[in-house]
Amino acid sequence: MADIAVTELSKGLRDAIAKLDASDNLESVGVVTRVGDGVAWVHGLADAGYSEVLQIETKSGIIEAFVLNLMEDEIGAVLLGSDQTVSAGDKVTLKGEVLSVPVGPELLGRVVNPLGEPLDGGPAIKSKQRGPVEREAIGVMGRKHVHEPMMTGIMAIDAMFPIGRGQRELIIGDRQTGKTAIAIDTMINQARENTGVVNIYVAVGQKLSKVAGLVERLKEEGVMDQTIVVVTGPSDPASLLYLAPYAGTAMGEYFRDNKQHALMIYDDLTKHAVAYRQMSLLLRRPPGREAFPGDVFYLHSRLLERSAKLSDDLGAGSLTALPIIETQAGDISAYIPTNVISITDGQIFMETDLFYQGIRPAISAGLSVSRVGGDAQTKAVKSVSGHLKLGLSQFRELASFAQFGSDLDEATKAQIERGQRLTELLKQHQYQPMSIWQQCASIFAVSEGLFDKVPASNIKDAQKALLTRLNSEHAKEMAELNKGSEKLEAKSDMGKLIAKVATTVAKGFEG
Amino acid sequence: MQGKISRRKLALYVADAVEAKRKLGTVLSEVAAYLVDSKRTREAELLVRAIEDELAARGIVIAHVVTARPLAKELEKAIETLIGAREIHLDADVDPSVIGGVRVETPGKLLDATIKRKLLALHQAKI
Repeated sequence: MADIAVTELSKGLRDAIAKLDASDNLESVGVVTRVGDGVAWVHGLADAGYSEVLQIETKSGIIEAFVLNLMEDEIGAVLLGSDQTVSAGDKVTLKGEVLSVPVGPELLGRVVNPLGEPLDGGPAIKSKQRGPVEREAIGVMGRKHVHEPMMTGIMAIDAMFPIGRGQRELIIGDRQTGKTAIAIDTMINQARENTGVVNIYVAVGQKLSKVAGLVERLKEEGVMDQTIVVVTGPSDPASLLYLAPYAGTAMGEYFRDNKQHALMIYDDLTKHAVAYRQMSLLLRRPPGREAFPGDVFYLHSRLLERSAKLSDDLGAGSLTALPIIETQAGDISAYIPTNVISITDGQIFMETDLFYQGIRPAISAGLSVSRVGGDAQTKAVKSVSGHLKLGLSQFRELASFAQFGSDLDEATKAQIERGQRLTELLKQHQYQPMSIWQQCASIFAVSEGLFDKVPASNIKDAQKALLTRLNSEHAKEMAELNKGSEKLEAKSDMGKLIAKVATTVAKGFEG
Repeated sequence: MQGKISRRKLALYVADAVEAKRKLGTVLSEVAAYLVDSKRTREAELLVRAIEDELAARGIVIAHVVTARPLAKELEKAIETLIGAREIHLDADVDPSVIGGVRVETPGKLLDATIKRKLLALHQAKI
């Protein structure tokens, strides 16, 4: 037996040598010299490239890693799996490609890990295409200014800090202030309003119980059909946490590049930076401020730059990003918060104090801003929300001032009362995003003074009554208003109609 | 005290000595003494690889060959053509567990044409 095998092989080998260029038969190999904490050091493989995938042959199969450090005679690679089975002396080969994930409509409705492997117990994902995890952002000529609205369904945001398709709007605040809630409401609103926007929720090191609850909720709301959830939990290796946002973005870019619109939610980038810090320190890169490596700014800027509104030539698709950052005790001047604030096109700042005062969503009117969304606001919303932000910030200031004395002039009193009504009006329960017409009619009723006789505590009830009546008696007009293409003014027919209904409704709630 | 001598410099030193046909034992004991003195004995394995790499770059290749049966003269020649270096040192090993075929390992390169490898590949592909 053995005789035959050996002679056949040597003949085969001779043939192969005769036929092929000799060097083709020798594959490049390296060897693992050290391994630990999710990082493997490899000797050899001089032709490895940055971010290239390595395959490590362990006793229990192949484990992949990607190159992050290229040094004179050693490669620092981060393992994409457990480091338990990798040992010194294991053979390493190049896969010959950079990291990529499956992309396309096949992923919709699925829960996957950053490598595109299903976590929902469903069948393996068979996509026609794969997209590179790290990809250069689109250039200047491929872009267009942000001009279409991305309605969140949250009145305080859509009226005061409007978000446009292709914008990057940061959601920042302490723990337990409702950051994720805003993101979820926005996803739900896309389904309710049939905007056709694809949601991609990226959980970076989030508790798996929280993610499970979120997926359950999205299914209940019927949003899952147009959603991809990319999950990494706290027990996953740091390399997967690091990759998750990039992998999610690659999946979103497919829709952006195919004339569709996608919404990315990165929950949250603080944990992403921490995972990158861990990897960098283990790769022995020098630490800087707060022990983060020197390129932590680039880490987030290259990620968020991939969100864009494409030019008409490229199909006018868009990728909107809602990154989330968690602050410690409201400190937005820490390293990562300032970085991401400067990268994004505005931020929504959530305040703990407001949250516990019962003002939910706890959006701070003074510290939040949207730099480009104004152009994206629909005419209807814009016409009613013109001075809302200014009025609300002035009210907060006046209200704190007015605590010291009660002898105020009539004008100030009126402003404070209007402010209290507005604050009350902008409170909104979770999972209840509002349509354009609901937002417009509500704000119109309060800002035009139609509810001036309704005490602040009754505003929510009055608003509910107004919306119910408008919906049941004037459904056709409201459908028209929902298009948002017409200004809503006191002089217009629509304004007169709402004013008439609001005045009748208000009578029932006067205190 | 002098600064740390890099692995690359040490490898260059040994490679120079090999090319100059100096007595290898003396050179290696020098290097070993240096490693012990500077508490860098853990790097010995890496240093050996660095030396092999450096020699390979100069055309002196040390090849580890593993076969199931003792190496045939014919095959030896074929391997030498395959490597195609100026000076080739074959370090042949017989290991029946590879079943058949040949495995040639040079610094940074590998040709694994053993039956064992093919069977493993088949096994993995089946999974």
